[in-house]
Amino acid sequence: MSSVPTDRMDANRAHRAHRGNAGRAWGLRLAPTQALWLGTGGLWDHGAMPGWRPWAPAGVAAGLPHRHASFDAWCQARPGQGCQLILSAWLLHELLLDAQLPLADDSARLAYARRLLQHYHGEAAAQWPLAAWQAGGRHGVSALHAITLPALQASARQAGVALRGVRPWWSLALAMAWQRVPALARAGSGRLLVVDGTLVTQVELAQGRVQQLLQRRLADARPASLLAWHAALPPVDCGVALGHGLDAPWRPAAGDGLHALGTLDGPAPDALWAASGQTATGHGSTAAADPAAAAAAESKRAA
Amino acid sequence: MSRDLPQPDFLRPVPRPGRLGWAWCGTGLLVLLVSVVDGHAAWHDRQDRQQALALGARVALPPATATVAAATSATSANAATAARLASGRSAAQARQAEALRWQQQLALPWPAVWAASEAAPAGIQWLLLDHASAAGLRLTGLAADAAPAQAAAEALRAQLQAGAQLQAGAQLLAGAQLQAGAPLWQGVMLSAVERVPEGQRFELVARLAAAPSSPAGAPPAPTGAAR
Repeated sequence: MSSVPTDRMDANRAHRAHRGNAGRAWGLRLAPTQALWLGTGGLWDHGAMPGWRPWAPAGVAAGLPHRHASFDAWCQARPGQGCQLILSAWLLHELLLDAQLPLADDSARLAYARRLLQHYHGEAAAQWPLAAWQAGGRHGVSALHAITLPALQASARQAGVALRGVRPWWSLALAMAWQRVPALARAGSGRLLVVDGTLVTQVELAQGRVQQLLQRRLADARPASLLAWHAALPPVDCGVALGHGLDAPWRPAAGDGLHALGTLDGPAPDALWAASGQTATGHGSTAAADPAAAAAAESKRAA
Repeated sequence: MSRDLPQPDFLRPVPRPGRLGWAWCGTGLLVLLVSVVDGHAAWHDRQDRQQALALGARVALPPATATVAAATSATSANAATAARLASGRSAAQARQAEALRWQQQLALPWPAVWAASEAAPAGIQWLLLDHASAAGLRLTGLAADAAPAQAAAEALRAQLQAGAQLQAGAQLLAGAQLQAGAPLWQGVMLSAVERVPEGQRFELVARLAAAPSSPAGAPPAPTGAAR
């Protein structure tokens, strides 16, 4: 990725930037966490993450998200801040481990995943940062192949930024989809499509438990391609799509079986989390996979 | 539901304190603050009370009762007062005055005083030897008749200053001019003779030849008795 700083870290400068006095250290510790979405086209600042803090953020900038050329550029622009980096699927490989594998703990899972990745992607995979996760009895591993973690941390350190988390976008998208479409967590079979241009992360769910996690390539970024690809998949009780990067806004059609949150176009996600109270069928899709929600929307319209 | 949500994080962070942690922290700090304020107020109260006590004790007690002799033989009430005085803000002043009194006591030419009783002829039973820088020497004795008493007075008059023996003590007495060879005692007088069944009880008084006046501001010298 071209936006990632490749120059070698000047150790003295980093140390000086990092040293600071106790007040600055505490200020950095207590600074609210900014959510940054990092894709191949740049970085989008989505503002302070939701969550309780002793005081309100100093001022919420209007017109979020803001685009920055890279994480390094954001760090230079916003020194003394905390941030959580949310990564586009383009930067990641995903693995869902077989439930039958005799792997005792996370380190065993990571070692297994490392060997698997090295087998498919060569020796480069030996250096990739890995993140293990578990949910509903299933375990998986995310591999970050586009950036090295030390490069990110060096950028943050040099600018006096607290890097608090580096997470895949699909994991936040799943939380947001659950919040906005509660039926997804209850449905016997559910599907979440996290659209990132022509790369779609497909999460298959059963009673809210992750059953499959796949990355799929579309032939092109037209909504019709997504629809056609989705039509070829086995039908599910509740299908939800969210994301960005299609070359035209998503037009919901009856019978497509896909509940789109948002218009799925644009260069970056509109939001990384659901605002409080933001549930059910807000954004544009009438082809709701959730019959109850559809009925509610219908009755509201009738009234 | 959140435990069913995958939460991969490449930094594998330790959990940050949540709302409950902040609440605990705030409560702890509040309790600490309140106790500090309370402790500060209590400390001030104690200081004020001690000052008032010390002031009250100084006003209530006549200075003489706070002397060494009195303190050693006094009742526990006086001792308690002295203890309170010492622990108060004027403790340093009290200690200084005490030290001065002790120095004055030690500065008296005690060898000469004891020698006064030893210089007396045989046949006298000494009952009391009392010496203070203000009151001078007072010797009470018992003799068969008046002659040994007169002899004792003569012996006292004849006692000469020994020089170096007195110098160390005399240096501590302001204005004391002692000269070797001069009579040690002046005003030697047989002040009282009393007939008692055992014989004659008599009292001799004398002053050191260069007895110093009591230093200004210092309390009068103690009237300790040695029997």
